[in-house]
Amino acid sequence: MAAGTYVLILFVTGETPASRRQVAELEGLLDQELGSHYQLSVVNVFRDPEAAVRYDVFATPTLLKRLPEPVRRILYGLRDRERVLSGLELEQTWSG
Amino acid sequence: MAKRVLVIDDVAAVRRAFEGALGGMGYEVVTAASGQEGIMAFDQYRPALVFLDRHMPGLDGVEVLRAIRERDREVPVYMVTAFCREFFQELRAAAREGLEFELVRAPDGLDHLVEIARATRIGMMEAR
Repeated sequence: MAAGTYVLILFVTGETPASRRQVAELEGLLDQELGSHYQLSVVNVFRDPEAAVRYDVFATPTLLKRLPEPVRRILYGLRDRERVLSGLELEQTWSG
Repeated sequence: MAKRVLVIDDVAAVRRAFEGALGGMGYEVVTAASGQEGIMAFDQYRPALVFLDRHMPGLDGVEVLRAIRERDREVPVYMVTAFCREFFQELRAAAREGLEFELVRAPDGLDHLVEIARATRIGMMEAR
């Protein structure tokens, strides 16, 4: 993995339209902000509740930033671009 | 105007926890002790956010969620539940049915209620 790559996990509830929308919106934002410098996994909490507990995820949808450190958990507000960018410490690059 | 949050849970201590966490943070917390009461409270108060216990005597969480979605497809609803497979069976079925909701993990998520409420951006809205 290239240095500086963001390693992210998005925890969602099932394969609902809302979850698919959350994934698509996040991927669009990450493509724009990080280009190819990220690795995003999606965890369906219904299928893998243990992963949510293991990573101390207490609500959905949550975006977990594993790398670069520090680890951060971002409650992913729907269409809340600022919250996500702030959680990833990318707000400086946000051009609106 | 305060942002109105509806908490539906048959356990009084849980309702008090919500009131304690959110009540002092600019949220108006309305509580209901059963599913039936919760539906009536929803009709009366039209909250901007709902926290709903998955397991209650009488109408359970999924039945209440279905009633809320018949009234309002947009209001954010968080189902409060332990994160374990046996509890998720009915919730998975509800999701497959097309009912939209998110999850709060009990009891740990109860320590983060303000953060969750803020993430829904209901602070951007007036009580409806």
